[in-house]
Amino acid sequence: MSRVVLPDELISEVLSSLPVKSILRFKCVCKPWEFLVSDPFFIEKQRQQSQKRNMHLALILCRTTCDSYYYDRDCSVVPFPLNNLLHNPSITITVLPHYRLNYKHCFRVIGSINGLLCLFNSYLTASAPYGPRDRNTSFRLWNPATKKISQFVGKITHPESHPYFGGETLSNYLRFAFGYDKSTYTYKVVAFCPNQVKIFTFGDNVWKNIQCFPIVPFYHVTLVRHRHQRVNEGVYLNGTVNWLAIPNSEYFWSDDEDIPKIDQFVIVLLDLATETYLQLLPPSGLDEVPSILPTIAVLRDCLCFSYHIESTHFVIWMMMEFGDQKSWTQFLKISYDDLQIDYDSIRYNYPYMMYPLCLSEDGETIILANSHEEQAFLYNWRDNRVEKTRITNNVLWMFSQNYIESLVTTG
Amino acid sequence: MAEEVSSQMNSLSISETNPSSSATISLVSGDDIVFKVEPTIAKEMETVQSFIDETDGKITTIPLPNISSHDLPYVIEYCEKSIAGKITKEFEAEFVKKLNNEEVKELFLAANYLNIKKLLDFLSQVIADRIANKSVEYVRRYFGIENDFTPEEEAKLREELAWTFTGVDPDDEDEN
Repeated sequence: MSRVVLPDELISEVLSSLPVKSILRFKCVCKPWEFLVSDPFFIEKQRQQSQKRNMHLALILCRTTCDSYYYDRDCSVVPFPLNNLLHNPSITITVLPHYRLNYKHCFRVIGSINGLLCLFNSYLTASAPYGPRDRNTSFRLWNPATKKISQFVGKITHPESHPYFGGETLSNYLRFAFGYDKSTYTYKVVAFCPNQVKIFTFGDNVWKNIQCFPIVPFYHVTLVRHRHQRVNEGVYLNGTVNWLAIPNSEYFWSDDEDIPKIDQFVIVLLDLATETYLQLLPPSGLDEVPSILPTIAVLRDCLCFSYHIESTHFVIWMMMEFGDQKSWTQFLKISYDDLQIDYDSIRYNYPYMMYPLCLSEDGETIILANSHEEQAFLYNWRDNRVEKTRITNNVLWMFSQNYIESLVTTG
Repeated sequence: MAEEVSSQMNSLSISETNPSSSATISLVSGDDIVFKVEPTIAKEMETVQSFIDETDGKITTIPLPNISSHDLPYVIEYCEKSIAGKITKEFEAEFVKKLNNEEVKELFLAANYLNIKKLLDFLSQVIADRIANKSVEYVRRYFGIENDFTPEEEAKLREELAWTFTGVDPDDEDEN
């Protein structure tokens, strides 16, 4: 028997540093531990520890082919520790049945917050075989670490999205984003089209209409057709969902159009607590025309604005203080040469998109997904070193999400 | 083990001869051994520093009844590395390699008592890593915890959580 006895607060400190699977197993140690593991303060403490020390990516793996068209058919979501990814092992990930979205009757992940993934299922309603049809979409929350999943909730009917059916139907097609309202500790789905914005709250399980966007986030038609890209899906940060928008421009954005200068873009954000919108400007003084449409992402709790310039460089800016436009700082400017991208040979078919997925703990290595290759880049800016990931499964990097293991309940 | 400690104490006494030692702080362990340290080391220990601050720096001898002369050198070593900005993964791995389970826990208590956040976080992760793949029985022994479930309650809980019992290391009785 042990001589040194630790007080409860130190036990809680140790338990919160364990992987979720171990924490759950140790519920069997004694009643106080079983109680502790369900305690909201402990759950929050564990979440913070995970965020700090144990970042993961939720990798989207495709069984059959890397063509993301089949993303909807049969894919799995596998949490993978970031540190392990950075060591860049050549491995084949074993996909347990538990990670198959099919088995959860879901297609896709729309977001990942606090260890919860928001999944959705969407099916066409029976109607006339030709012409526009409706879709029924519903949602469920899944915690892969505890293996808990909620019921389907929030069923909503909206037009099918196929661009073939033309603008009228398409502009009624709902787009979805996942968020967390810190003021009420509730998870929410935002559904919107140009003349409609709704918010669904998990727990209450009700949809509520809110005012429309001041400037509607653009809809990238070409990319929807290819179903290949992660463009302007809405990124969650600090109680808000953020999109890019172009004032005085069409809702539909296609590649035939000229890309506006960077200073023509705005970031529109929806505050989930107040249900109001704010607009942020991209880094000021950039009157360049990006060679490919810019994107926004979140790295290390900072909003990022990234774009390609002169078909030679990929540039990432970080907003150091969220909401403070003066705090934009250029984080990286990476040349295609360094990344060994032969731009001229890859630009056909659809635009070359690059998406900053996440940053290593020391902030020196960035993981960049791109639309044209089956592997992501691991780029270390300090010594300008580039590697490509060596996972042999078909990973849809552009759709992969930041993830942490948590005990957060699915409700 | 005794030899190891004394060799560490020797290395400490070398640092005592530092020219700026006029303002050194004396830390007195529970077993009445005096350790002289630089004020910068004391700063790392919030409990010690607040004691010094409260007495306007007049008192420089600080009794630490809860900490043994066996543990204190480790704490001081960690603080020295921390000030020098030399806490690397390699140092941390070496640092804990020489500590058995009981010693890690003692040091964890010391870090808590002295309120050294970095050391506390580090040791908490060390203990977590040591038990992460262990059985429920091992963890009870490790922390000296009495099982207060009835056999029926425990069996039910284990059944619910059956998937968390895969990949557990076999118990090794010698580890404590």
